[in-house]
Amino acid sequence: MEPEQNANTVPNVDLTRQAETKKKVDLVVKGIFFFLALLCASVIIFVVVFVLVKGIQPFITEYHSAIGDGKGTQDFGKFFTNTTWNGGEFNHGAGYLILNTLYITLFSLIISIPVSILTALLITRIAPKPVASVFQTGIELLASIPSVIFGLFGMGIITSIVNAFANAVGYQTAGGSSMLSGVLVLAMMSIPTMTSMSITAMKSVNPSLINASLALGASKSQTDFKIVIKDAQSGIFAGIILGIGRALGEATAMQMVIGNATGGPTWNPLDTSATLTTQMLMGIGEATPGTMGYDIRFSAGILLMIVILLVDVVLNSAKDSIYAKSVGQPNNALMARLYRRFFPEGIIKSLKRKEAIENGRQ
Amino acid sequence: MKKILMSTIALASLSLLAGCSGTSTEKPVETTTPTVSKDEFDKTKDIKPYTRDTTSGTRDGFCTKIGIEAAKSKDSLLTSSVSQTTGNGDMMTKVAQDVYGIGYSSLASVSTEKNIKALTVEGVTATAKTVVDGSYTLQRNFNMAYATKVDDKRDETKIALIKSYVAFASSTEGQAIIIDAEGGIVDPEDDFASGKSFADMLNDTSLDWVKTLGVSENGNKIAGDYSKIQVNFVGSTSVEAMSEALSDQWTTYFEHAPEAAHNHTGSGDAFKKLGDYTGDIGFASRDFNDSEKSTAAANGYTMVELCKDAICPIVNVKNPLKDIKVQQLRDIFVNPDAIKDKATSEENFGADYSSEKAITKWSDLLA
Repeated sequence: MEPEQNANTVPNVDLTRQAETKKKVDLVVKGIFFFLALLCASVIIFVVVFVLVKGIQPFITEYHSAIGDGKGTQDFGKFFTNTTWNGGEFNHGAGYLILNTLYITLFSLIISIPVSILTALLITRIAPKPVASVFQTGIELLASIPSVIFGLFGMGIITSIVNAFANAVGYQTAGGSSMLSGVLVLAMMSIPTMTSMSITAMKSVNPSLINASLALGASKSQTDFKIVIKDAQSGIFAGIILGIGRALGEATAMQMVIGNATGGPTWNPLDTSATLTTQMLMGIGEATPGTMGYDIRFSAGILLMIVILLVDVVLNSAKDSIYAKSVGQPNNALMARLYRRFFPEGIIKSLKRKEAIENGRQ
Repeated sequence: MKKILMSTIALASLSLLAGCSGTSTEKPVETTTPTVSKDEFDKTKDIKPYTRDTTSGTRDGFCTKIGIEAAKSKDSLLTSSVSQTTGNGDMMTKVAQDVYGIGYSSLASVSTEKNIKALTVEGVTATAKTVVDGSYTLQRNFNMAYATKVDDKRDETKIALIKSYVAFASSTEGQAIIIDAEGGIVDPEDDFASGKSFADMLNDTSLDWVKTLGVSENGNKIAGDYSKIQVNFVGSTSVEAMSEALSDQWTTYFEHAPEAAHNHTGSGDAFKKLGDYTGDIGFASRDFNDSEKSTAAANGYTMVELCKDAICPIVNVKNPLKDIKVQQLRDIFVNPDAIKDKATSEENFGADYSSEKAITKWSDLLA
């Protein structure tokens, strides 16, 4: 009834005018959004182009020495094969830093992934509500702590724990400054991100799946591991990717605990190490712009960007293939085997059947 | 079902454990070292050397004075067991944490940390006296270069302001800041210290900068409005605190002080920035080299030695070592491969250290 009344009282002309104004507003808003999106995107492009242009300089231009009268250019091949970052003013090496960076990140993941997933499981499924909310608040607070605080904590506490541990096993560290300290600090820093993402993913698991699993006789733990984690895997994986991003790019906290070795690669977790980011940061305050010692840091920056890009691509394709498996045919034999090991299909199949029946009813 | 559940839990706990087990797999088997109580210093342990990074003026001074100058900008000439630190403070923190560490630091900053101690070098303690008479060898100069020539980019007023700053640094008030507040060491015989107070200088009309700038009626401040003029301080970051302390005090002698802009990026930039007019007064935590001296002569820059600074080898306070020789420092820090034979050593350092043996254990230094 009411719309008819409105149509009678408001003349048609106004309606079209209103519609046109709305269209115009839409257009303007669209323009603003487009502009903002372009701005964001162009920042990335500017940063990448800036780092690329700066980072290529050491290989193609001749630099004057900052300390003497010599001139020199960085050798491209040696930049990857040298085992010392600074083997002279025009002779740097960063290949070993890539290995160090990946090795440390991998190590920290071995700690952070199980801890995050199990913590998330505890918060979403096991702990009583008040306890869970306390834990969750703690995790969220942890995520907002700046990295330098983690670094200070690492310097004060973790290095001495690592030192005591090393003494106990009869190995001498540099006062606890070591790769292991770096790994622990990185794990601490990535756990909050991974846990928060996992919690969100686990909370959005369809309760009918869980109820069905329980109804079919699966125990609570079976349901948690096989249904909840399985169904939330996509979100968990996204959390892991974010965590890896934080781990790969961390500089300040790492520099404070890792010992900053001058060369490498470092394989023993109790020895001092260095990563691409810590080495880029080292001495940046006193490096003179325009010298190779300054510009070569941008070259290391290019390497870091490439490493992050590659890791992202690999992880995302892994994520896609896991996802593909959960909905259809596995596209990779090894992944399929791993997948079956972790997520036996019995329950899933019966649940899918149940879901299909329910969907059919609707 | 149970089997699956158990295997899942086992896998999860295994991956948890991997974090710990992975760390211990590569460790060497425990050696049969004599048991040493926690607070006792174990001489059989390795020496852990700490260095500053290649951009540091302190590292420059240290490497130069222990006879491995080329290592100031080349990490590969230092032993591979060396750890880099990010500054004087970080250096002291790391040595304070590592009972078996050895590092080096500026004398002025050593006294502030309880858990480290400075070693005597060749039996000589670093003090103002031993640095001035030269018996303490690990020392460096803080130098200052400034523009004195009027040209189209630096007018007479600017030059007068620069000169007034230099005059202030040389005055008794300025010297007090350099020595007492900043721990600099000044040779009383040095030409730079004028021995006059800045307040007296302001009333000395024979000084050209006093004439140019003008003095207030009661004679204790520089009159006139210079607040739109910027005086730029550039060069060494090691001297930054000192130059800032000086300029803070210097500006209080103005009715309307110029802006003192400090932009310290390293000793190497002192002359570069004087040359491109982004700097008016440049500092270096090392001696100016020959090419810089000829630049100065060509452009009318004046160079003065502001003060001296001692570099102290530092160890943990638990370390019983008291004295160290320059050669021992060299053999701790140098890469053994760089001095393995006469030709290599001479190529790297211009001296033959091939007869020297790397020092890696504290037992090599402690009887």
